[in-house]
Amino acid sequence: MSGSGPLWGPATEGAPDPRSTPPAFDPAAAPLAAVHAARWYGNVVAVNDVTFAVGPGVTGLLGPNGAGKSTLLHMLSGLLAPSSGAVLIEGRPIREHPDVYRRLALAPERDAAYGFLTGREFAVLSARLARLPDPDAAARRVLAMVDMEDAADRPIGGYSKGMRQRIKLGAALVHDPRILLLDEPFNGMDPRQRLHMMTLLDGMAREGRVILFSSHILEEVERLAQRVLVMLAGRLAAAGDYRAIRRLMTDRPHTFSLRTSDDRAIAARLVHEEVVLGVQVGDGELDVRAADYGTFTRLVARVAAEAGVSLYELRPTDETLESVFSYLVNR
Amino acid sequence: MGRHGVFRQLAVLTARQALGRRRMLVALLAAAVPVLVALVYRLAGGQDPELFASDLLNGIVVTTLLPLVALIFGTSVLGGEIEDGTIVYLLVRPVARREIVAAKLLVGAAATAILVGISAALALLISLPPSLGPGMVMASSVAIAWGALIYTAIAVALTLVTGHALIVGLIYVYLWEGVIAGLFAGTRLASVHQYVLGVAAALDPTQPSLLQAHLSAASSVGLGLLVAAAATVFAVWRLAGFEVAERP
Repeated sequence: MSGSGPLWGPATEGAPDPRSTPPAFDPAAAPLAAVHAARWYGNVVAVNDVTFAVGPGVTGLLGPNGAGKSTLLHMLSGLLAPSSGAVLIEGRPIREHPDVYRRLALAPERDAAYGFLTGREFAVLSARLARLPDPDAAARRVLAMVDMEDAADRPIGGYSKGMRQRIKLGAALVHDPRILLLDEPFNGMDPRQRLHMMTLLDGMAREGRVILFSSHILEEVERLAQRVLVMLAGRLAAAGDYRAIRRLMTDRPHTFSLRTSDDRAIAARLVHEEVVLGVQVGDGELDVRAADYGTFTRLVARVAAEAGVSLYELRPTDETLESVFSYLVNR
Repeated sequence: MGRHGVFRQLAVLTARQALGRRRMLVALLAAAVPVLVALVYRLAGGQDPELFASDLLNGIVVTTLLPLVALIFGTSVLGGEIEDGTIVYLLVRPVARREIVAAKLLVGAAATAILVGISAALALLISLPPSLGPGMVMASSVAIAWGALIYTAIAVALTLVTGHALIVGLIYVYLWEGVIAGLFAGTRLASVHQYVLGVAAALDPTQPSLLQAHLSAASSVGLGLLVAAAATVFAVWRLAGFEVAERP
């Protein structure tokens, strides 16, 4: 993570500590910031002491389902008050300054819509509520942007999930916001639409807009975001340059499950390899812990051939996002 | 786009969302009841139309129909947005919370006043002789509009307190307005039912009115205004602190 970059947070090099505040951190100067922000519902902690700031460009909010991403986005958009700490938009608490909504937009994840309105009516409604001088023109502009002109005069109630996602995004963009908060914006979109939306958001980011979008899918974040906030169980597990975090993710120890014609023979050879951290022979299965993913997968085929052992199955056992993220936290 | 553009947009949106809900059918069916009762009375060649009309107005329209319809509309105008989750689209816009509440309240009260007012007008015109009918319709229309505003304000406020606003509202109407306010004279000062009757009786063309009002017109207007204003201010305050959780 570069210290001079527009995103601050717990360092990704060294032990991640969400409480640490790097010297460059200035929440009042950032378009979007959280300072020890926490939110709980009764006894359930949804967001736990999160501190970061986000600047222009696309930032991905990555984390498994239930990590607190939506709660955080709802706090940033002023729909939820932090239970403790603060959430700042342009340096001010948003719930006390609704005027900020002239420059901020939210596309929520929840599939709520005025089913009786047409896409165009919804866009015009959004433009009027945003107090734009020419609501019809603004609506036409965003309908074209999100590629919804053909279906614009049909009721939203009959839209597919992907179409609803696009009209939601279009409505959010109607006032040409400087800060854009998107909660799982690509859910339900087909690959072509997804690409179109990513190109659109990428272009907006290049114009200097601040875009924060949540996703539980690594590939989406990888393609769009230069910087990421990684959330796990309500905490900020990592923040910073995407590539640095991705490297941490791929360089971490991996566990594999192997099925072979002779588990003991191949295990005996694998334990001598540098990349192999541990081997456990189980019931018709061999579990291997390796220091790095690529080296091990190349190695195991060679070792099996040398030992004359047939390799039936090689399966990474911890590839869920949860395991990737918990590695980042416990590292 | 001025302030009135936003207000009108909110009002149109509210009308389309709230009036499209299934519970509107209940309101329509309920509104048919006074008309049917008046038809039966007329066809049976009923005696003493003034007493019948007063009983109809007091006993069916003001006691039951008006609060029922006001609660149905009043809990739908904002409650519908909360239930459907569409309230998010209003809250993340630079729109004052009082503007949202005002538009919702106005649409709910107007819809109630029109539906109940038409129902009462038809029933009165059917049961009363032409000499009394129009005057009584005027009195009932004004009183119903007044009651619609107060009851709707209470209903809108309730939707910002509980997710079961309609049920809580019905319990309030039938327990407080129906039973307790009838038992203890002191509670009549805090009874919307009495505010409506007070206004109706003052405008009643047959004097002394048979409507059994316990409050003067001035008290009915003043106290009603107090209740409606308090409920509205409370609703604006609750909406300002309103929170939307994606998945609690």
